[in-house]
Amino acid sequence: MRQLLICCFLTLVLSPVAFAQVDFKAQISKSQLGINERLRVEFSMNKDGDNFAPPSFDGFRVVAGPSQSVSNMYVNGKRSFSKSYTYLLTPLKKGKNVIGQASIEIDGEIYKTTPVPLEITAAVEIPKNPNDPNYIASESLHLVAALSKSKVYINEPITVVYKLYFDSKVRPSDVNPIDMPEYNDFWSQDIPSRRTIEKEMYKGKLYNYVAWQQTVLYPQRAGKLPIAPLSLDVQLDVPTNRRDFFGNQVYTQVSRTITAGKRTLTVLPFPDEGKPTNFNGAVGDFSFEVKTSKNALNASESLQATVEVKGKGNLKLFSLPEMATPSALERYDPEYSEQVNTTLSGMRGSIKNTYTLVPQFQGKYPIPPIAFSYFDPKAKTYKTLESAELVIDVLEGPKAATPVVNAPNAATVAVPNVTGSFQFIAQQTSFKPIKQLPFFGSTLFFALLAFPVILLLLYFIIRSQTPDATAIARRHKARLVKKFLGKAKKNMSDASAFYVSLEAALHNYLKARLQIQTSDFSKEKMQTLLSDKGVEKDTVGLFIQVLTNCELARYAPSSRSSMEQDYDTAVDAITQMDKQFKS
Amino acid sequence: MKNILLLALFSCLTCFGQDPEDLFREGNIAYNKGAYDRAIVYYDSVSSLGVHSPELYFNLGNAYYKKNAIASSILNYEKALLLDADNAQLINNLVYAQNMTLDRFTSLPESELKKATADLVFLTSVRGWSMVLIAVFWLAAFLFFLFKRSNSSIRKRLFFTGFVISLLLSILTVVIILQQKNTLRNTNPAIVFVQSESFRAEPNMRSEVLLTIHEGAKVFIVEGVEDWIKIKLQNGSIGWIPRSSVQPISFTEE
Repeated sequence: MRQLLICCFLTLVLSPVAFAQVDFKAQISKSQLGINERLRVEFSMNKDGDNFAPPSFDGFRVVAGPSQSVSNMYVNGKRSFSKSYTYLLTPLKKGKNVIGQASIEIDGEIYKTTPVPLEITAAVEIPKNPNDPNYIASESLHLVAALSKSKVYINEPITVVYKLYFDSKVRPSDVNPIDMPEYNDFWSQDIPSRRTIEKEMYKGKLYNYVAWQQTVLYPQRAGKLPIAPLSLDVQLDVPTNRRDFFGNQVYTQVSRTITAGKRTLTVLPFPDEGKPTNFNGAVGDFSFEVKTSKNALNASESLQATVEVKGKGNLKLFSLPEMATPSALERYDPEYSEQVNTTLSGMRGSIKNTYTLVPQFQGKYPIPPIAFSYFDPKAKTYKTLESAELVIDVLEGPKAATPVVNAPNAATVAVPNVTGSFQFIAQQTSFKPIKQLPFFGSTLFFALLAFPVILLLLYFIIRSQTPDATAIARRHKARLVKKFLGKAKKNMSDASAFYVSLEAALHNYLKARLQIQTSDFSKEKMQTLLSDKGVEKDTVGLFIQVLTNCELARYAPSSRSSMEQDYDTAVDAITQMDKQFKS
Repeated sequence: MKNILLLALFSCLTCFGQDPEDLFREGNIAYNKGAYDRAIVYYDSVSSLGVHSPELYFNLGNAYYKKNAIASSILNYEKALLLDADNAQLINNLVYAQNMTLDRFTSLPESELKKATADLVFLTSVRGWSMVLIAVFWLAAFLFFLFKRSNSSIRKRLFFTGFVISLLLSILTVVIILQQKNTLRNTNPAIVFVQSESFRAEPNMRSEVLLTIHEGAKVFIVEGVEDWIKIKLQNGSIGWIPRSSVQPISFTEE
């Protein structure tokens, strides 16, 4: 009894404290779940409240709820209260997400739950559970990614068709894609599907199917490339065992998320063997053509040249080979046009570059052949197509421009002003041997160089050995003058002494030359004597005249100029006589 | 069929006299009839006799031009230019052939001084300059002789000055000759004969392709390594191409 009392007391004292602690929290069934799984969220409180406000559940779809449950429990006379709101959610997208705050008003106070983080992963396989109410739905609904091939070359088209199989007893009423597949490392294009219901065997059973999504893929790199699966959320009408009033089956609606299995594609690289150098990734089966709109035109008119590739293959994924044109043709950037249809079997059509060319000058302009290489995945070999060489003939127009000559040996080429039409061949010519020996450095060359030097040398040698006559004469004369007339020259200042010494000198000379004392000879005798010795008459005359002058000067004074003249005459007479004595 | 024709032609040629003038005339006749292949055979047989002339190469160039053989055409015009640098008709037709080529390199600008020097050095051939050298040297010797002989000092001075000047001129001529020979040896012009050729940074197939050069482009051979040659383009770029893709502009090959 006493114990009971204590107990009551304690209860009375403690219970307000216990009740004052309001507990409002959010609980989730899993913190990590696949996108095809469901999540149960329970907001529970230990005291009744009003105005419950659930969070917005962004990124989720509320499948069921809120369902409310209230429980009152008495344990050992202690009452415990619990109230909860439960939601069933399906995630709508992958990634991290948060269950937001829910709020409730208890005893006038507003309480909020803490946000609960959770992670939505890719679709997981749900273990089979025959007791699951969705089991029928799961058994009668399949999503399959059908690949047209499992091994392809880079840039060879491959088709992925997502087929939604369903049993004839269920009826899909609404289909929503949740997780769109991503085609990394692929060039992809969706082909719109008409989504008609067709029948096909699947896993040994006849199913209805809808081609839900069709995509053409061109793998862009070699290796094992995964294709991320597609996830669909399907609303199904599933028959139940119940019948309605008219005996028709009653259907119930089931929502299901299905995912196509993950597929891997083996992409083969291009073989290295026989790879053309100009291969630029074209794969398929093509034809190649280069053509011009005109072959002959006038200058400054324009023409179109097209480079076209037609056929089946990755037309949008490679560039056309460049067209090379002579630099004298004005060329504008090409205009690219494509007519490509993409179907389930891949791209088909044509792509072309149209170049506009404007010739500037008269002449011929060749467009060299263009080669186009592609890989044929069926034959597994490279193929090269080459266009024919085209020649554009420009008939009329301005004549050719100045030439490009800058070779060192053409530096002297004065660019002539003959801007005429193409010149005809030359008719006249004179031939020279091709192998001309170089003149510079040849024996003849050196001989010609050495010739004047040798001539000069010879001349000087001969001259040094046979001295020049004039030089000898000059020396002789100097000797004679010094010998005989030296005294007379000294006495130039005194006229009488000069003439005495000059006369003596002349006689001395004759004495030295003829070994005859002539001072006593008369002029006539002297004249005949000298003439006998072979002296010319003029010279003798000179000699006699000087002697006469000498005699005259004894009596008549003479000027200095006449003295000099007489001296010079004497020198001349002596030198001339000296020469004539010899001969 | 074509071979048989050529064979018949050759036998014909041997029947005819081996007179280059006759062959040249026959070639001209064939050219005028439009039988360019035949004309080329005639012209080639002239040069195989060991004689040539600028007109022969000019006509050959014309025949190749008519056949759209760009490289052969340019090669022959350039050969003709080596023999006769100032022929206006020749330069005119060379421009026509150059218009057919794909490449047009802008040549490097040259300084006026360099240009003037080159003009002087290439005023005439080595042979011509050699003649000039001999003439000037003879003049120098003669002036020296006069200098030695003359008596009056004014004449002596005049002749000695003339002698020194002509001696200096002959030294200058030697320098010019050596310069021209050196330039000719260092610039080996050649014509690209393949449709297109990769102009590479190194003499092997692995190296980087700098650019692509095309048929008819004029290049200058700098040096060679095995099957590769180092070439200089007209715009001054230097790179390597296979030796087989060019033909030098020279007469020594024949």
